[in-house]
Amino acid sequence: MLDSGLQIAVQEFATWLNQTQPLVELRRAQEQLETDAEAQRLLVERDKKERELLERQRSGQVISMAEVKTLRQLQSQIQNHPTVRAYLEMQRQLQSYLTDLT
Amino acid sequence: MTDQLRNEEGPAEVTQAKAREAARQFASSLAAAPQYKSFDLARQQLRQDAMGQQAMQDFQRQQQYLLMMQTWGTVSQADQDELQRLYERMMEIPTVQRYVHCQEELARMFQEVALLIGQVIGTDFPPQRSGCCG
Repeated sequence: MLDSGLQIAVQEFATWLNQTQPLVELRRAQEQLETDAEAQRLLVERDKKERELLERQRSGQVISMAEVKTLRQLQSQIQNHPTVRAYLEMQRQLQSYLTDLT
Repeated sequence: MTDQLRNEEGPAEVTQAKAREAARQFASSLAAAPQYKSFDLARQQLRQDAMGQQAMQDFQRQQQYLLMMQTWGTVSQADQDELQRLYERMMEIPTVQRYVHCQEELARMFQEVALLIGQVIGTDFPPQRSGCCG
């Protein structure tokens, strides 16, 4: 449980941060990503493959290089997708803004 | 901050200045939090305890080794037993015990802070936490 002084400071900071341009733009990029069917399909497919490989790894099975390559290809497709790239760029800009701010 | 200021459609510079001021206040509140003070003290005490530091390094080295081995699916029972043994030995040292406990408390506090910020701004905080596509 946060003490009240810290809680107030956090809320105050978040309220002002909420109004800054980098955050407004990140939210816009996030909305676009959430409504982009192709990007969502790739993300779901990647998550499914990743989970499957992790479960097999945990149960002691060896993962083949071909399977690792498939996962890497999916990851690369995601990172090159225009909507994802725009979202990651906005994330990077907000991160940089936060670094400058503090 | 007054409601009037908050509601103004002021220039980006005003918002930036207010955000900066709020960030400063937020940072000093974090530094004043009991969890941070306790952690800072525990960290200083650990720095002066060579045996505690050595035990932590031994544990971390074995932990990293196991993580690497896990990637290839070749972790043996003996490797896991060794990790457990090093953990128990490390946790018998009071300075390490205090440090680990304070670190956990601090991490919990940071999680609460991040959650609260995330609720206000409507997205994950810090931004790189939402690692959907990285």
